[in-house]
Amino acid sequence: MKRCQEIVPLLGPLLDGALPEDDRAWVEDHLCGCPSCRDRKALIAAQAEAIREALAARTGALDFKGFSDRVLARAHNERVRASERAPVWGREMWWAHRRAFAAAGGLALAACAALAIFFSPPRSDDVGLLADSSPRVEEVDFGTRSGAVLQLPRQTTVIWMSDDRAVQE
Amino acid sequence: MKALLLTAVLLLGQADAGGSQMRVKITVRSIAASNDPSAPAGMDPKLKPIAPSIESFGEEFRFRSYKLIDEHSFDLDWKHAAQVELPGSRSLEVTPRQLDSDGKIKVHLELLGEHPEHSRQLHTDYAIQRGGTILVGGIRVDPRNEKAGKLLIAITQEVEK
Repeated sequence: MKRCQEIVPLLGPLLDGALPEDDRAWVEDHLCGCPSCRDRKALIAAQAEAIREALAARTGALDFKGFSDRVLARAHNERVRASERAPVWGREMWWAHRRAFAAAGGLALAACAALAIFFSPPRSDDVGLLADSSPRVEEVDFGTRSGAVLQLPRQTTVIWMSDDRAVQE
Repeated sequence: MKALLLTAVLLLGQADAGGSQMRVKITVRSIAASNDPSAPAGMDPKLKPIAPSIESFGEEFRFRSYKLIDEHSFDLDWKHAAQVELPGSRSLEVTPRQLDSDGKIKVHLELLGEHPEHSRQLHTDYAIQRGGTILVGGIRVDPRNEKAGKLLIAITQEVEK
């Protein structure tokens, strides 16, 4: 015969009809030969019945008329208050973390600029970008001739003089 | 204190000696740029090392052909001039002067006229990075023959290996 300590926890499920078939068989077998466990079972059943009656009495007194309307009205009020809180929350967040936000914004801008420069195709006719690595003419004297210094694409610098005067003379 | 000053002077002297030990490699190419229909069109294959510069020049000046006349390479000490004979008894003098703070080499260049005066036709100072080429041109290849085309001088700052 099973010990009563093992039976007592199963009495509730037995009364609720939630006990598996094989367990129910030996629990009921034990109850047949154990008056103490039968009394315990009866007590549990009485308690459950008393609770059900008490709940039924309380719910019977409640007025559910207009309940759904009241729920909807309360939900609407909560939503309005949340929308009122949002700007305040935003200002407080900005003020508390303004340095972090500014730094993050700066980093994002720098990253965008770097990506734009990295992925933009080089322009072969962009003299300004090529000027750094191009030969840099610091001084030029054409003497009695005329001439010009030209900065061409592909880092090409040209010093171009006027034609020979020997033939002209 | 004296020992400290002496050490500083010695270190400066060594640094200067290290800088002066570095030599400068320069290549001067004389090129005939012409529109003569009898000359083969395009660029002389010997000009391949400076092809990007010639191509860029060609896009602007549109000569029909570019032919290498002469080529000279020099391994120079700082402030030591190299002289190159050019067609028509003219000459070019090129002198590396100093290493600039941005890594470019400052060069002085003089173009001297015909015999016997050899008067100075052009002089210039420029700064150039290693591997860079500067083009000087406009005078005739043959001062007495217009059809011979224009003389284009390419001065290339070679990369030391």
